[in-house]
Amino acid sequence: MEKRLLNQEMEERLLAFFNGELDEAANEEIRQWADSDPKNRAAYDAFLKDYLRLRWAQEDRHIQVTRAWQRISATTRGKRQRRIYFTVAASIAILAVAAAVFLFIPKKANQPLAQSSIQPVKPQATLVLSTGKKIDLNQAHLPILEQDGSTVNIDTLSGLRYDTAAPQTTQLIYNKIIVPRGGEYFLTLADGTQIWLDAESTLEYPVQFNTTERRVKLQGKAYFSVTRDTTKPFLVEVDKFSIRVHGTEFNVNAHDAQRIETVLVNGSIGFKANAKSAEQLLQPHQLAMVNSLTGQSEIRDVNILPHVAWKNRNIVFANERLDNIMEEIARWYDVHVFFQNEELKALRFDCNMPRYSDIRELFFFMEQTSNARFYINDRTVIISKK
Amino acid sequence: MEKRTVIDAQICNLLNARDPQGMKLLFQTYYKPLVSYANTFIRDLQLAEDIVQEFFIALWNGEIRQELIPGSLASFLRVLVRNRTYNRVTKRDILTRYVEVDKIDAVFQEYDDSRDHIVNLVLKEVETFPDRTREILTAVFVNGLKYREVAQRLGVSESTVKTLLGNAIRKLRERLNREQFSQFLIFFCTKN
Repeated sequence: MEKRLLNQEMEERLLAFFNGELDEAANEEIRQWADSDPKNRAAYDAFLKDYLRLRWAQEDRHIQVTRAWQRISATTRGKRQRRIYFTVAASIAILAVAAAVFLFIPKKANQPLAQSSIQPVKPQATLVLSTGKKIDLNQAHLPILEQDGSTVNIDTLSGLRYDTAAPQTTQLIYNKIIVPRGGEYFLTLADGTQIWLDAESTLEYPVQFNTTERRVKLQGKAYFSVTRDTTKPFLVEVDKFSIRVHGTEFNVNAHDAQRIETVLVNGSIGFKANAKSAEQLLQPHQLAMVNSLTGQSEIRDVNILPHVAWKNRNIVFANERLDNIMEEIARWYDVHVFFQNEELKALRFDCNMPRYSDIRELFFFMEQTSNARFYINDRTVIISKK
Repeated sequence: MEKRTVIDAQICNLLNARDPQGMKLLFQTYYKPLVSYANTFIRDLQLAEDIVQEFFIALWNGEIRQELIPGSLASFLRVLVRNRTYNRVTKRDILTRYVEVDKIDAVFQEYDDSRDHIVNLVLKEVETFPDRTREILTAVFVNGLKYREVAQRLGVSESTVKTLLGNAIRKLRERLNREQFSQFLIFFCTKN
């Protein structure tokens, strides 16, 4: 049958070469070896062929066909329905567009991306102490002494930090941090847990975790890196939705109670869609989509990057609908969004850019790759067809 | 081969008429192979899936203004997917730097024609491997990890990874080529 063209060592070298394991000099050696003799070339080609077929065959069952089809069929279905509905809605749409043009379009309509005063997201928040006193964290710089004797350190760069070596009291007092639209804030709790709070979000937490569990309340969106402590479970509550963890990293987006998204980066967590639901477990790189009102939930495998990139100061969308993108943009840049054409909401974009970019850069990029046009008028973004 | 020609013609007719059934057929026939093909150049299965999905959606939305022709459908899809991977790639895979695309394409066409068969063959053989070897195969081929990373994760030495992977590939190659030889015999016998 097949004559052995390669010895074991050469086979392993070629394998390492195709796997990208070798350095430049070694890559070059392989090339020269293959070019030096037709027999080597034949052996190389035969190996490449098998290598590729084996790689493809291995990955074949890891391709997530069901999820892919959901996404693609959503597009084809959407188009069909729109056509039927379009004729009915046309006259209303013309009226609405006319009104919109009259109301919103700035005078210099041919300069869609004119000067704007819209600032990217920046660290800003209000801290509510256990006494009810409110502190603007952009103004305050001195450590604050809480009622139970804990110190709260404020730093413009590293955010808020609670004393880990605080006096052990049995008193459970709460602080609350409120991040407005256009803001973000980072804090380290008394147990060392790190939390990134996104725009328009609120977190309520004990100053010291001196009970048998660590319980915090969230509104909006946050990324948690929870310090491991098997004796004290960490609980995140969003109204009736709750997550139980021991030590792990995950992102919770709870801006919409009917679509609470939890993405697990590593570790393991359990969640309850609401008080009546049973606990379900989430694996790393999975997303739980929860409707906390109905208690329905769905778990699926995802690319976690778009969900957690914000915490690393990036804006990443992967094939995301424009209406969802603009919902986030509105919070980050504190703007209002107005769609002149409903169908533009269904446009999809990929994006990967620094979080602190000028809003116009983002729009420029989206204008270049679609038939949408973005007007900025004061704090309103108007999206129309080209 | 002939079956594929009929399907290609159907896909083109339906898609040119913007019938959603055409997208379904295109997906059933081409999604998996195109993802594998894209992944050859980028080694990131998730990204490869995204690229092919975006491509199908762009095709449906009429962003690619070209009449689909049955005879060249397969190569047309391949070229467009390949271009999309090039645009998305941050670090170029060894295959794109050192191996000519024509060569990859030739192997791919052959693979695509008997994909089910090859996949079954390979997976059946892989099932007989020890767990550790299977883990290494998945880590390197599916997750695109470096030997070093695999060694760390599994708590073994890098040379163990290299050897186990080498052994696995040798066995799989033998299995593939044994099959080819018998197919050749069948072909040879039926022809005469």
